[in-house]
Formats: sequence, structure tokens, C-alpha cells
Amino acid sequence: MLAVATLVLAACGTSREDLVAEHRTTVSDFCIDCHNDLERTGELTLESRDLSDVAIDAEVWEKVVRKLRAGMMPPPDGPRPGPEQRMAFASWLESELDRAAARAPNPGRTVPFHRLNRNEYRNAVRDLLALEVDVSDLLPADDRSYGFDNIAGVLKLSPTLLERYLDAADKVSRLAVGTASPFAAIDYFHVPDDRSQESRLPGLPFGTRGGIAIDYTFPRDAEYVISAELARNLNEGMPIYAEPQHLEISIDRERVGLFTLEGATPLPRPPLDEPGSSGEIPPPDRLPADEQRLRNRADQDWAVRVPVTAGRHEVTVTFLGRTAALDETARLPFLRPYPRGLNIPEGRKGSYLRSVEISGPFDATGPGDTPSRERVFICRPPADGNDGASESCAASILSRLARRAYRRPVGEADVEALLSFYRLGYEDRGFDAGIQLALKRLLTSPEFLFRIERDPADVAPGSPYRISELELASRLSFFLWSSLPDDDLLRVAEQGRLREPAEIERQVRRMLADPRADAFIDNFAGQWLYLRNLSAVVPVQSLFPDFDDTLRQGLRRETELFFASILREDRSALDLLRADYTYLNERVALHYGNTSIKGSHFRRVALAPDDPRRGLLGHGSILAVTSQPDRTSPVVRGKWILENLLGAPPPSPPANVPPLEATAGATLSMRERLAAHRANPTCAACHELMDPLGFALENFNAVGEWRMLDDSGDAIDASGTLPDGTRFDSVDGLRESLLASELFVTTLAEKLMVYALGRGVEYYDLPAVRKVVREAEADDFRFSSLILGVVNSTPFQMRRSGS
Amino acid sequence: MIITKRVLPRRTFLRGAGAVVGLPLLDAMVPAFAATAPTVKRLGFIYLPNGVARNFTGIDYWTPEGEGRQFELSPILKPLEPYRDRLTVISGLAQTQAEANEENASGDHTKATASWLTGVRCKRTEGADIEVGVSADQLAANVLGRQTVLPSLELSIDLSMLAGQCENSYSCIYLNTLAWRTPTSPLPTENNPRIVFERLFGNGGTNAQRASLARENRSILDAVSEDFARLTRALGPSDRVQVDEYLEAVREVERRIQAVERLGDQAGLPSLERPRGIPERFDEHVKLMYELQWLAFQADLTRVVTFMLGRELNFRTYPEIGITTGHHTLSHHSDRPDLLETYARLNTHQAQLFAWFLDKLAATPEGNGTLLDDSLFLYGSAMSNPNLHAHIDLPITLVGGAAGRPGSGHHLVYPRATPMTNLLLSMLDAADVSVDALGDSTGRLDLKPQAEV
Repeated sequence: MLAVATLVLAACGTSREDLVAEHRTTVSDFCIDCHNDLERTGELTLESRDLSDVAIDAEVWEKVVRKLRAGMMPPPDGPRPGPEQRMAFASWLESELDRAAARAPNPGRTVPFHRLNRNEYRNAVRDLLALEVDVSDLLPADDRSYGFDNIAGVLKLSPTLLERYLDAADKVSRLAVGTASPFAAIDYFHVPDDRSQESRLPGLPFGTRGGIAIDYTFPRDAEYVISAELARNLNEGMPIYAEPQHLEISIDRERVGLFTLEGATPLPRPPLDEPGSSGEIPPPDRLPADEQRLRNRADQDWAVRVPVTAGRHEVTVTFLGRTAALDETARLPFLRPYPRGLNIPEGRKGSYLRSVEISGPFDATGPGDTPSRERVFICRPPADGNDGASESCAASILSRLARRAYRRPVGEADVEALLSFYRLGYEDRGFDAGIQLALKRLLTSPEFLFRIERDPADVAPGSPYRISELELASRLSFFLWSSLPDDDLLRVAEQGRLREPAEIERQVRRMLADPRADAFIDNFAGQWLYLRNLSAVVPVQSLFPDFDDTLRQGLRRETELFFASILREDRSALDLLRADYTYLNERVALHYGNTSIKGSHFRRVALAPDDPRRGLLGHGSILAVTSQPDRTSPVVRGKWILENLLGAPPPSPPANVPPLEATAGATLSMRERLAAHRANPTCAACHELMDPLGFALENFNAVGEWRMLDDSGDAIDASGTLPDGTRFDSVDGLRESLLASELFVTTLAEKLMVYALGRGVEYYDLPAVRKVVREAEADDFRFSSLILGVVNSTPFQMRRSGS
Repeated sequence: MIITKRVLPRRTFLRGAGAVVGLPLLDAMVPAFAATAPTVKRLGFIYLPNGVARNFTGIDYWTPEGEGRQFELSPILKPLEPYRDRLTVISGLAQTQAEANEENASGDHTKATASWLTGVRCKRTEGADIEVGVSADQLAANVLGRQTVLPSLELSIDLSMLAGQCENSYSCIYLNTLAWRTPTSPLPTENNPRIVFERLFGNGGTNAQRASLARENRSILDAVSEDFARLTRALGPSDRVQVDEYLEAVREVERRIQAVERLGDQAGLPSLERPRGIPERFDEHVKLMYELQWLAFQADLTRVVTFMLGRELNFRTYPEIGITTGHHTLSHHSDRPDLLETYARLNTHQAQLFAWFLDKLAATPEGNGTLLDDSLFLYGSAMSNPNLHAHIDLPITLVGGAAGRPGSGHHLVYPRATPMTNLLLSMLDAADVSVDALGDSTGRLDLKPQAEV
């Protein structure tokens, strides 16, 4: 499209001077009235900006391009150029800016020390040591900028964080090597309060109900204590059930313990009209006081002590399922359990598991055979305990680990630095302890914890240069895997072959096909689309009594699988909005009103052409994270679309103006309420952009269920407009309009660029973004073409030296 | 491994495992402070997100009726009634650095958090050039924290990992903490009680084992220092600033390890079981975090705390007290009396939890008095009327030991737009932390009731 516009202009044979003059007229006709030196509307003046050399004010002109492309300027209430004139001006500006950028590339500059965030740390540990760790326990969450948590400039190192890194290095090195720790190892697993445990849960065996499955890394061959605790009701009382409740503890699906909470018969309930009764809600079941006291302690000794081999095992703690006959009588009215601690009677039909604790090791017999030890110990010290031979084995172990951990070839000094710690541990407690201490040292090295990019000595200050192949290899692996380069990638970079066009493409395709690219889905899609926020979505119980944790997880899974299919099948990025399929299991399908899907596993399900669930706009995950706990928010949804699909984030509300949300007149429909607010000119500027987009999704309620009537009982009116004035009357129309606009792919490319570089996209990066989009367009916006475009772009391949 | 062979009930087991660690003998610390009773030894800064239930047209659940000694505690502050003689309600203060200006029209919530203890307008950026100012708690930590294991403790309730919950053009970092060690070094907050517990008391082991670990960590930190020094050599001067900050972090951790080593053998046990994670209920979570502060004060592991009872813009609901609208949404009460009343219920709940904490401090003997006697807390918000994002007439209360401090038991009303930083300077004075100026400060508050001066 851009290319076409440029061609048309060139074909007319107009001279450049004529074009400059023509566009100068456009600016003075349509822009200068507001954007002059005097008024500076929107803090912008275009008066006396030189159109014949756009490079001088590139930052300003890039802003102009953005507003023109989004159709946000000139505003609808004044004189406007026709769409063709507007786009022609935008295209001309772009081509001028691109030409200027090609003449004098500015690749931008990330800070030289780019700390690994905690997800990257976890993945690096996994790839270095074949060890899975729960990083949320080890390290604090990272601060975000530009919508992502891998932004170099704000990933700082505070004393507190350094303490955590020391502690994490200690734990990780001990787990990997299997050396004993003097410190208590007690891990606690809490089952979310709002996870229904009435029936079988995904990942747990058939014939069971509720409970939890835990992938746990047992540090050594030893005995471990696994204990379980049942959920209580208000005042920490053990709930009363007529039937006995059997709880099973298994390791790798083999039962190691079975515990029973005996059935009990409650006292007969007093009639509702008796004094002390609320008359509305029946009081909870009761037992005689001493019987209840005894019952409250029923699970206090529910623990087993079992020998387990070192390494990863699945611990499941779950209830034996009820028979079908019982199930019939025990049907729940709603799928979400009553939360603990509300003053309502027990609504659960059987015991719930509250938590599981795993502690140990006790009476360890040795480090065992674990994937980590196999990965670390590529040699063993001689049986005769020869110090010299032991040390040379240590040296080869450590130099191999260091190369991967530091992402570069290592020299003698690197190995010696680690060996000095090896010797401390070796002299004290033997070979394994030596390796463990050296590994701990390696895991606290700045060269492991930071990606360090340094200006070459021969580059003048402030000038662009190509980063080294090793730096490029790290950029690539942290972009696609959120982790270290593997041997293949490192080797190619060491050989200086990574920049060969065929080679870099081979690497990108290989890496996208690798399971490690799941990290790209978790981290990029999880943040771009706000999927991560689902964990904090807690819709109001009384309004959404079916929204429980299993649904929450399911909705997230649907979108992850969907995004993965686009990536792995190398589909067009446009399919994110328009695909004719999604992924459902029974629970999510039911939420969508589809009763034909059975079972907890997700499968690909075709969607009819008129199905409103097509593409991301129909995903419950996105609809839920853009809602309030008690209702939909067209404002939040509109803002989400503007920010994440159209790349035109509205500014935050100006000071001293309440968000529109608040004037909730109870009798007005959402649309009327928002309309009332848009009457205020200060608010209108942005809300006229946000609200109409959000209205298109009003057929989906706050948890993403389809509806025909809104909260006040009125028929939904899902019509609206894009910022450029395009009208639509439903979610289908919105989807079509987004597809027709080039803004969606451009926005995606920009987000990819931010994520890939770990810094914000600046005006000087926009020529590179346009190039990515232009080149991907020729390939129908296949996802790999976008990724390759980013990888081959100037800002990814180059860097500006420090001043 | 000191874990024994028997399966023990959790509590006993934990003690056996040494996960519960000793406190130093409190009375050993008495003489140093007994002679200088009026000096405040500890400072706490407790932050309420999204303002309080009031507007500017007649509904105000925060501000007490009356001035000076003759005042009636407001509904929100009613739970603090038992501490009436130890509190000073202060009206009229402003945080003008959070107000909009020409180039910075938006980002009210961000600026509110960032300026609360700094008095500085945060730089509008999401990049490497984030900048505010040194915060009052860190100025205090530089002095009060010299002898303690942790110079300061930064605590919060909300997760900071959510996407899209920040204001455009401002890094989320500004919303996530109150504490700035330098204008460019924010200190991260922790919301997981278990991790706070382990930072305070370690993760078990014998004294000998802990000492050996400390030695090990110190030699690793020495090596990390050398790494940074080596890596810095090739850097230009502007890049070295960043690494200098990191080297400072290394030195600080070394200092902490030495402080732990100095503590040496400890006696006694904290009466708190090792927390297991983050409770789902707000009140349980908040109480646990207060309990940890109480323990940290009791063991003199830190003397400076910041605690955010939530992040600005958070959308938490509080079903346990019947609030099912998101916190931030509710704070935009549109002057509707019913919404203001609901919001007041939340603010009152917050004050009840604070009173619970004060109860614990007041019930813990220290020296000749109690823990509360030598402590001073700032309790309040960076917005008054949240519906307008107003940063004037802030809701602020000081609570602490009577200790003969002037102003206690009063409602003091200062002229509108008196900088809040003036109060922060007075707090620092009370703790003998000498600072000339802070952010936009113009002087100090004398904290004496105007009528009685």
C-alpha cells in the first residue's frame, strides 16, 4: 500500500519541489490553524517546520504521520482533506523520512547492562542446568515500561535484589549438584479459593475430584514428608458432609497415602422463623460443640513420609471421586465455589483441599541420578581422590558451563576465577561441594545476570556500528526463547557466520520451531494481550457465580494455544483477528454456550463465518481482562484496542477530571452514561476514540459470555466508529475495519520491536518498523516474515556508540 | 541436615528445623535509649492508594470536626480512638509536585506515588532516564539504618506484574514503590510475607552454618565487585554511572552480611510461624505484613519501613466487607453520597487494620515503655478527593508514642498548600535525622497547635 502510493506519485512526474510545495499547502490549509507557534495545540507547532528536509524535525513529522494514518487528525469538526489526500501526504512524509533514515541510520542504543528478568533467569537455569525452578519464589517481579518487563533501562539492580540473587544462586546450585543444604526446605502449595473441586480437574486422574497436581523437584534421594490440609469454612470450622471424604496422595500416580474425613450428620436445623434466624439465609449445618471441635482437627496428622528419588516427580493430592449416583443428588447450582470466610452457609458438596506441604529431605542416601547432574558432571574425579586430576575434571565442567552461561568463549582467567571457589568447597567438603560453590559463583556473575553490550574500541562516539555476532546471538535467543543461546547458535556466532542471510533465517526458523519458543508466547503475547492479568481477574461472585479458577486457566489456555497456532503454523498475523477456528475444552465451550464439546482437553474447533468468537476479539480471556469486576467497560476495552491493536494510545485523563466510568447513573444505559460524559469537551477528545470501539464488544459481558441485553435490560447496540470515521455495527464490523486498516500489523511490528530490543520504540526506529511491515506484506504478513524483519532490522543488528 | 526423623506437627517441626530464628535480647538495647527518651527511634510510612472518601462539596469522612485539642475523630479515623493522645491529624498539606503542569498534564496517580516521600515531580519517561528524588524514608535509613541488618524495609500488598495498569508515558516503576535510594535508584517492594520473613530471620540452619554461609557470600561479593570493576573499564563515562550504582549495591549487601554476623548468637524466638505465602484475603494479608513489621522492630532488624496498602489504580474488590467495585473505580465517587459511604467503609477498614498493628506495638514492652513509644508513623494518602485526583489538603495523620512530643492529641490545620515535605522534614527532625531540605520543602512544621503557641 505504501509502495503503491509512492509509485503513483512518482508516475505523475511531479518534481520534488512541487510535492514539497503541495504538502506545504496541505499543512497550512488543515494544520496551522491550531498547530502554530502561538497556540501550540497539543503542545505541537508545525509553523516554520521545513518540509523540504524532514530529517531536521523527524520526531515531529513521525507524530504527524501517526495521527494522519490513524485518521485522528485533522479532527472531524473542522476542514479536513479527503482520505486520499490525507494518505498521500502521510505516504510522502514516510518515504521522505525513510530516505533520510537510510542515508543516516540511527539504530538507537540500549543501556550496556541489560539485566535478565526473572522469567529469563528461570529459562537460563533450565537450559544451563536441566533444572526447573519456581522463580516466583526465588526472585521478585520485574518493573515494566512500554508494556513489557524486559526493558533494559528499568531492570536495575538494588541491594535487595542482589541479596535475592545470592540466595537464588545458593538454592539453584545445590539443587543442580544435589548437595545437602543446611536450611529448611519446606514448600507450600495453596489451592486457589475459587477453584471448584466438585469434579475432576484438568491434569488429575480420572475417577478423582478436585485437588492439585504439583511438579516438584526433589533435591536428593531421601525421604520426604507430604502433608495435606482441608479447606475450612467461616471460623476455621471443618465443614460437615454426610458421606466420608477420601483424600489420596500419590507420587507419579502411585498412591502413597489415603486419608478419610468421616461423614457426619448435622443437628436438625431450626425452623426459619425462629428467633436468631435471619429468615433469609439458612444458617450453616452444625454439630454438637465437642464433636465439631474433634472434627476441626481431623486432618492434623494427614502426612506421609516416603522415600523419593532425586529429580522431578509429579505429586498429586486429590479426592476419590463420588459415584455417578451420588453426583446426581449433589449437583451444584453454580460452578464457582463459595469463597471461604463469607458469612454464607457451606455451599460445597464435598471437602476441598486447601494446601499441600512438601518438606525434606530426611535421611538422604545421596544425590541420586538427575538430569541436572547428568548435564553438569561430564566427567567424574578419579576414584583415588587425586587432587590434580579432580581439578582438571572440575576445570572442564566449569569451562563448559561458563561458555553457556556467559554466552561467549571462555578463557583461562574465566575458569581460574571459578576454580578458586571450587577449591574452597573441595578442600572443605569434597568434589561435588567444590562444583556447587563454583556454580554458585557463576550464577552471581554479572556476565550471567546481565546481557552486556560494549562499544568496540575503534568506533567514534555517537556513531552507529554493527554489534558483534555473539551479542547478536544473545539478542536472538532472548527475543525468541527468553533464554541463553544454545550450542548451535553459539557455535555459528563464534565462527562469525550468523549474519549470513541464509544462516540467520535458518536459525530463526529452527528457534521458532523449538519448544523453547513457548517463552515467546508466554512473555510476548502474555503481555501484549494482557493475558497475564487474568490471574488477578476476580469477577464479583454474586454476578458471575460460574467464573472459577478452572475457567480462568481455561480462557488463558485458549488464547495461548491460538497464538501458538499462528506462530507455529506460520500463518498470517491477520489471522489473529480473523481465524476461522479456536481452541476449546468442555468448560470453556460451555462458557461460550457450546454444549457439544466434552472433556477437559483442548482441541481445535472450527468457527462458522458469522461466529462472533472468531479471532482475538471473541476470546473470553481478553474480554475479561478489559472489564471491571462487576460489569463491562467499553472505555477499558476501547483503550485496549487503541493501545494494542491500533497503536494509538490515548493520553491518560488530564488532571482533575474523573474517568468517565464514575458517573454511574443507575437508570442510564452504559451508552447513555458515556454519551453524557462525552458532552464534556475535555473528556470528549479521547473518549470519542475509545468508547465507540468498546461498544462493539458490548455483546460480551464482563467475563466474555455472549448476551443480547445489557445490565439495565436494554438491547445491546454494538455500533461504533474507528478513529478515522469508519463505521461498523457489530463486532464483525469492528473486526473487518481493523483488518482493512494497516494499523494493526504496524502496531504488532512495533510491539515486537519493543520486546525484541528491550527498549521503547523511538521516532528514529519507525523507518525500520515500516520496512518490517512492507516486507512482510509481500508474504501475506506471515508471522515468520515479521520476526525475520525485526531480526534483520537496523535497530536489532546495530547499535549507536555512547557519546 | 538438622531435620530430625520424626514427623512433627508443622509448628513444632518448623521450630525444630530452625526456620524460626531467635531475636536478640531486647533489654540489651535498653541503656542506649533510656537516657534520651524523646527521640524517635523508628519511622514508618503507611500509604493508602487512591485517596479517601471525601469530596470538596460537603462530604468528608476523613477530616475531624474541630481544631486543636477539641476535635471529634472522623468516621474513618474512629478506629484510632484508643490512640487519640498519640496522634496528630494534620490538614492543609499539599503535594504540589503531583499536580499537573504544562508539559505533564496526565499521570496523576504516578506522580502521586512518586512524589509522596520525595516532593519531586517524576520525570515523564519509560526509559533508562527514570528519575525522581531521594525519599524521606531513605534519608532516615541513611542514619537510623546504619546499625541494623536492613537499613529499611519496603513492603506492599499488590502484585506489580500486571500489564496495562500503569499510566501512559510513565514507567510502572514509579507506581510500584515509595522508596528511592537515589533519584535514579528505586527500591523494589515485597508483598510475599514468606519472603519478608526469610529476609528478616533467615531460612534456618545453626549459627555455625549461617556464619559459614555469610563467609561464603562475602567472598562471592568480593569477586562480583571485581567483575563489575573489570567490566566497567571498557565503558564510557556515561555508562559507568549505572555500574557505580551496582557497585554501591554490592557494598550495601556486604554491609548487611557483616551486620548479621555482628548479631551473632541470638536468643528467643519470634512468636510468628513462618508464613506460607500470600493470603488471598486482604485483611489477613495486611495483618501478616504488619506482624512482620512488628517483629522486625522488636528484633531491631530495621528502623525504617514503607508500606503500601495497595498500588494506585488497583482494581481490587473487598467482598469480605461488601465492596464489589474495583478500588480505583470506587474512588471516583462522582460525589454520589452512596459511593462515598461505601468508600468510607474501605478507609475505615484500613484504619481498623492499622489500629490492630498499633495495639501490637503498644502491647510490646521495650525498655521502660513500649515499642510504640519510640516509633513514629505517617499514615495517609497522596490524594484527598480522589474523584478529582486532588493533591491538596491531603489526608495525613501522625501516630506515635506520646513521649512528650508536641502536637499529640491535636488536629492541626495548616494553610492550604503548605508542602507536605515540610512535615517530612519535621518527622526526620524528630528522629534526629538532620536534613536541610527535601524536594519542594519551604521550611518545617513546628507541629505545635497554632492556638497554643
